[in-house]
Amino acid sequence: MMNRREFLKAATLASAAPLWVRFSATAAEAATEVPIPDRLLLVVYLGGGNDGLNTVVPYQDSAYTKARPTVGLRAADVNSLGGGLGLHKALARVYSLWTSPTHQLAIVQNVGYPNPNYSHFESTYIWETGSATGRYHTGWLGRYLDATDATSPGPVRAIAVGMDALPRTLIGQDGNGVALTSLSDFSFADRPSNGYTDTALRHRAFDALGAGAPDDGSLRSQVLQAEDGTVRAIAAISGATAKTKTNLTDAQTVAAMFAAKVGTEIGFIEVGGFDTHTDEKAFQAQGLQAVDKAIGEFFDAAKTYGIADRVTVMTFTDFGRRVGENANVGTDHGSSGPLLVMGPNVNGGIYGNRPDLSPSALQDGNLVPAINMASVYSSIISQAFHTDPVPILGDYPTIPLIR
Amino acid sequence: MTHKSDISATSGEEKSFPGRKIIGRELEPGGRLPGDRSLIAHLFRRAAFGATPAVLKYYAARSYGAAVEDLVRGKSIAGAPPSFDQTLDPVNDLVFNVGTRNPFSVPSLDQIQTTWVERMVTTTVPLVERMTLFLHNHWATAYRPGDSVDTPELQTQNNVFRDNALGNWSTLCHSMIEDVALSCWLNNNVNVKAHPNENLAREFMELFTLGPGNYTETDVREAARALTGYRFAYNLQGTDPVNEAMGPRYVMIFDPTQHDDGDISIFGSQAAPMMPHQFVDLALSQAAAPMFLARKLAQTFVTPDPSPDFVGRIAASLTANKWELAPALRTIFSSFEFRSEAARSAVVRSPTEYMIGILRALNRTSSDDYSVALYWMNHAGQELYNPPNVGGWPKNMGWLGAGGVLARYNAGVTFADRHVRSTTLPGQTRLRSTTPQGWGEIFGITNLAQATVDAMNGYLNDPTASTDQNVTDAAMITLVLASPDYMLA
Repeated sequence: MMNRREFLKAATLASAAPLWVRFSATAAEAATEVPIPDRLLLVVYLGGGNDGLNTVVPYQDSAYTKARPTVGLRAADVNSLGGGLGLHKALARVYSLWTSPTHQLAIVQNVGYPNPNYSHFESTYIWETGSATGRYHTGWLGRYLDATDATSPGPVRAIAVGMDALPRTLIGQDGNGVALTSLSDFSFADRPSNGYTDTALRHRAFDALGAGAPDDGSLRSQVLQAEDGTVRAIAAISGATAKTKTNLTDAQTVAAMFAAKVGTEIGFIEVGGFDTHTDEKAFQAQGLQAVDKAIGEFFDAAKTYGIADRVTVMTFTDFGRRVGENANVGTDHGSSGPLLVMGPNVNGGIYGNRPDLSPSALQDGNLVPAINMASVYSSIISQAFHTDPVPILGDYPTIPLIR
Repeated sequence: MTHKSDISATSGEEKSFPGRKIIGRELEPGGRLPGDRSLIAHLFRRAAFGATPAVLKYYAARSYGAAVEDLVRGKSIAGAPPSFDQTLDPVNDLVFNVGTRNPFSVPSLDQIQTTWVERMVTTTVPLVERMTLFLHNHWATAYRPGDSVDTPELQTQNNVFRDNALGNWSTLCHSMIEDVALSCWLNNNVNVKAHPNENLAREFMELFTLGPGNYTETDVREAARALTGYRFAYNLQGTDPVNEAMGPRYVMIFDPTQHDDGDISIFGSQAAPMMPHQFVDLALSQAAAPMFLARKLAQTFVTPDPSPDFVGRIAASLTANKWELAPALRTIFSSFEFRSEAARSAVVRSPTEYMIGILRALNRTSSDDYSVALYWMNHAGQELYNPPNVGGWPKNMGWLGAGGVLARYNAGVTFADRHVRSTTLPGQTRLRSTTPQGWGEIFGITNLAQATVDAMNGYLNDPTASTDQNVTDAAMITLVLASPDYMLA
């Protein structure tokens, strides 16, 4: 099996190009990049702890209306999912996936982990590692990337857009992910648009650092190859995105990267503003609108790039919120909540039992989680990425979310 | 195999080794002959974030052995630039000066990161900071403020690492089972008689002292019982309202009522009760213990794949010197293996070493420099106090994914610009060179690869090259820092 660097090397040799092409890479050479992966996953993180009960709303449940006399949503605030459940109206585009003839929205109810932690940092950490027991500290998708490093070529396998540093979800041991605030971020700083007058000369000299280097497996040659791979990634991305509009949104940037043929198969974006301790109705609607917009932009861009049939979107958040409202027309930190999985390959529907909101069924006023997040993750890993989830997450039952 | 292939400036012992090619000039007894510049530069790249030309000049006029001695003894390295100051108080840290016991008022993560970066950049005892970084990666504990692995606890832990950096491994191991940050990170604060938690016990043996395969699952369960009884409490002692040197926010308390005092058997040794420190001593008494630490030190400082013989000699030093680290480091840096050609450019600099090397070389000591350095360290994949997991950060090629390479390149561009745009005092000249080799020396590299020299000359000799010295200087710095010569240590 080849690792990514060996792949790059093999690709280069096969095309009979010189080993060190770097900045002199022509468009044809840059096209030795990798095919677009079959399955592409966008993870949308709802920062702050989205209120699941006001997202997938049991608006006809008397225990719900009783617990939330002012914060609770009513029939007019939701689009019906049937059976007394409604989707927050701000998620209009997402709802269109539900009503589409191909049923492209799956809702997994009451997802969490045992012994809920109510700290933003701790609980998000647990969600991102996929481990409530401290068994893992790397991200669940980072471990997937590590596990498949040898067989999945591409210099940028995962990308987090709109952030300075990689979210833990994508952190593994092998440095497969890249975080960037925007696409123009993923480029050499000494470019002409930053005021450099000697860019071409500098980059020719950078090319020449590898001139005549023997491909002898030495650490020195490995460093030169890693630099070569970086240059190729940058060249490929800038080539692919030169055709796109500037000022792409985070979600559109992920789609552009998926289409850039650099092996990117996972994207990560964040929408914040969900820590709704006060004035929840207004703040949550605002946040969900932003999520809905991002998801819509992503699907639209995927269509434009011709990758619409490969994409899946999933959401997660810090935690759900307390069942009963607080005195500030908001809700406090809670436990479990629904998780949305969307896309053309998704088996639409509602999974898991509706949470029991009667006071006697709650623990400290919170839902008792029914489905472990690791079950959802395992389903994604095995069904979308066709990879054994057990070494990545442990042994959890899967749910038939994706076909 | 004996230690005789090792040079020791203190013992003055030096034997020739037929059939082994020793690189560099041999040292006389006592190490009095002028030193090999390339070897000294190699030593400083590994042990000290790189040598400045002044440091190189100083030790080249003396000896390689003298450089090893100054480093492992924690003596101020001679020839350090005058701007290096020693005013940092090793006791009164930022955290100790917060001036409040309010647990909600703690320094930001950025503040304690900056404090450490400043120490690494300005220290005159660089092996102390390099070993502190080694220990942070070894006992990898990450910022988790919701779980009392907050900045005061991490700074306290960092101070323990620094105090023991050239000290005693056994002392450090005993300290670490009572370290608040590590205990909370690995759940030992909730390890009680009724509900033993195995997390610290397992990692202590697997990752910290012995390595996989050197203990059984029964040992883990029994060690977890031996480690029961710790919890942390608010530190009510040691307050000093005058200088506000207050000590850590929390202290570990051993509560005998929560300690499992039944029969405990670890590695076949039985005791009732078995106290936590007895477990530490038992672990360190295993034959695997010195080999485990020796191998990790050799991998960090010498080569990713050290020979069993070399590891054995380092382990023997640890055993003979009752876990003292300085003699082991002396053994390492004096060894044939360290001085050999095979060990040159054999490890990839971590992002921290990469950035600190730049700041030390270019004398960049403003808080803004530290902040920019931290930004690029994070982008290159190493956020201090936030390792990806308890196993620590990646190493070698694990650092050089596309994002890591790009962050390093752009960091080089950024600091090259900061250097050529910096103002100089009247009468001062900016650090620069007219030759590629000279630029290499500024960054502690005495023997740039020919390809690197040719690439830099290619730039300088190009007819389109700028006549503005600042433009070409910035390009030369960028190229050196992007070269494999600097990426590797």
